[in-house]
Amino acid sequence: MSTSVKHREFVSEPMGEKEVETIAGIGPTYGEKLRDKGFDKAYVVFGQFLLLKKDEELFVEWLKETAGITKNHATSCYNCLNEWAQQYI
Amino acid sequence: MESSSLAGGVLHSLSARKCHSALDAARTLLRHGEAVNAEYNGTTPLHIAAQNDNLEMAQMLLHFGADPTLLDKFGRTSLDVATGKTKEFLLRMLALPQKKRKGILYRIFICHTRSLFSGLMKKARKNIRRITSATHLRPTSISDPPLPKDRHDPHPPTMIFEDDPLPLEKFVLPGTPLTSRTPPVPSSDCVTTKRGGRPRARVIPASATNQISAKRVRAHSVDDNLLEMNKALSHKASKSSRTPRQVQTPNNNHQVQKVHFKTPRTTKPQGGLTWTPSRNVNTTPRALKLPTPKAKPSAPPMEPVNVSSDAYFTADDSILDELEARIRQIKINDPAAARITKLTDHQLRAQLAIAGISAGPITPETRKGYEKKLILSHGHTTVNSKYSGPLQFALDGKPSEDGDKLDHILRRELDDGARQFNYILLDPRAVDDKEVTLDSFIAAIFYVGKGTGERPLSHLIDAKVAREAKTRPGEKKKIHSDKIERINLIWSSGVGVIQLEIGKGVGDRLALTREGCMMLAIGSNNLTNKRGGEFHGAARTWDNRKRAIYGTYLILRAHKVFNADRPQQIMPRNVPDQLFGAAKKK
Repeated sequence: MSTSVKHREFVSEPMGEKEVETIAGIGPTYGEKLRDKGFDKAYVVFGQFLLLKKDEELFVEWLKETAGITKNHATSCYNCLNEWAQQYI
Repeated sequence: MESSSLAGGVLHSLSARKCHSALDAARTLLRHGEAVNAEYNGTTPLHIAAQNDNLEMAQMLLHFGADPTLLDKFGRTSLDVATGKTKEFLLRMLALPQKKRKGILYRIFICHTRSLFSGLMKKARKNIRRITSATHLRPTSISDPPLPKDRHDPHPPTMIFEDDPLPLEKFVLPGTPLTSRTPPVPSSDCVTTKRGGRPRARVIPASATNQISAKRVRAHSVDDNLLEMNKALSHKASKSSRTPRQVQTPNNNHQVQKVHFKTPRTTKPQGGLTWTPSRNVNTTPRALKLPTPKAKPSAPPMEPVNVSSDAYFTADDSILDELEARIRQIKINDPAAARITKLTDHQLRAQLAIAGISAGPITPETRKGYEKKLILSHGHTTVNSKYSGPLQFALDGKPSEDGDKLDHILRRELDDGARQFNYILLDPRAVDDKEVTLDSFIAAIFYVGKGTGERPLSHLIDAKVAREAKTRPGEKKKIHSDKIERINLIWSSGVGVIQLEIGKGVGDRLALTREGCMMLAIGSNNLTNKRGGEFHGAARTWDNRKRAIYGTYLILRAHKVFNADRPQQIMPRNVPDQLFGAAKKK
């Protein structure tokens, strides 16, 4: 499975203060929804990702519940964060 | 009322019958003033309905104010003669205070009606439409002759324009000359109908929409809506000191009969759970989608609707909340799910641990997900069993037959190389018989891996290094893991590790998937593997049960291979000091 440009860009560097929309699979609409729930930065979502112990099932489920993100998008979001985690922590 | 003379005993005969037409007819009679508690042959309609376990009828009679405490000629109440469900219902109703009863009765109808709307019962709906349209076309002998205008009206100030179409203030009656009058109330509260045109419901006050929309299901003409809305309006009005019945539809006699009552037996009780009585949801758009009435009413109005009208005013919020709670109760109809939601965070964590799920912090945010996961995990990990469900089944001699199919799917999809294989490390102490049983074979497995070339050896080399490091205390321990400890433990007891290579010549992703599936089947508690598996291709979307089925299939195959060709035990002396070439990939 090839990864998107967004995915590669996100994974290629520390996330720093990046916005939540920079995560692969999260566009402006989902970004807004997450922002409304208080997940404004990529690292906040990453925090939730860690809180769920990098569990794909749970994380995808959580994204679905929180922001109504489709399974496909949520999975690419998960892959993005997972790969980032593998590289940097 | 005058029409009771027309229908002496008719209501009684209807009460015994369980069908739509009987209900419709009875409703029409009651609407037109038939005395609900009328005595005929020394018994009341409610007695008859109760005796015949005609729950729908009984509910409707109660709704119209039937008195369950009345005695028949033998001195029995309706409850005394009631049977079956009706008896249960009556018992429950009588336990409640009078005011609550009416509110609940009313809401039962809404529930039934609403659940009809919410799916699954298209057929039933069609059926009802058929029935109702039939009643539209059926000329009713009772209502045919227009009643004299000077007849006694029990509610002269409030029931305005019941029969006289002329002084219309708010509504234009189908079939009457159009009188152009300015509505005295805001147009948002009013509904207009055009002659021959499609009736349209306009904006309905939010407080009313809930009650109304629920009825829409069986409301096949806008006049029904009018009536309901009027009731709701007057409900609202009663608070804002407007005269109840200020708004009254003149043409409600015929369609109205469909409004009130929804026969419960056409619906399933759990169907009602989609309905949450939130009072502020504006469901008006739904109202616009109403089917247009098939036929115009065959008769002008004849009798004011005044029966049990206070049912609409007794309902207070507590009943709504009560109902909401009940619906929520039904929603969690799965006992296991209900039990899990009741657990404390601590208990939930313990339960998750039993299910082999290592949970992160349980916060309000994460809890839902964990609950779900636990519920799902019950599907494939029987609590307190050592292995996953499918493997347990295989041990019991009932292996799933899907494994072959799953293997076929994955092989075809993940066909991207032929260098990888999977391997299993076994503790030989458990498997030294000639013919190893599946049970002991699985018990002996302590590591599942995948790799190329000499990868499996690397664990043994690591173990050897660690072993030698122990003898030289000065050197710091480089590698420490359960797996290496286990290998060393085996070596210490004088036997060698058994390494079984299976499924050779596959691609990277297939090997990874197989590794993950086998780990799932055996359960990470029983292995020294540290990391969970990865799943690729179709296996990504499989649930854990399916993965475990596949893993079980692979383990069964490995077991056969093992018995057919027993691999050598590997002792420390067989292991080279280090791995050469590109095989070591760490």
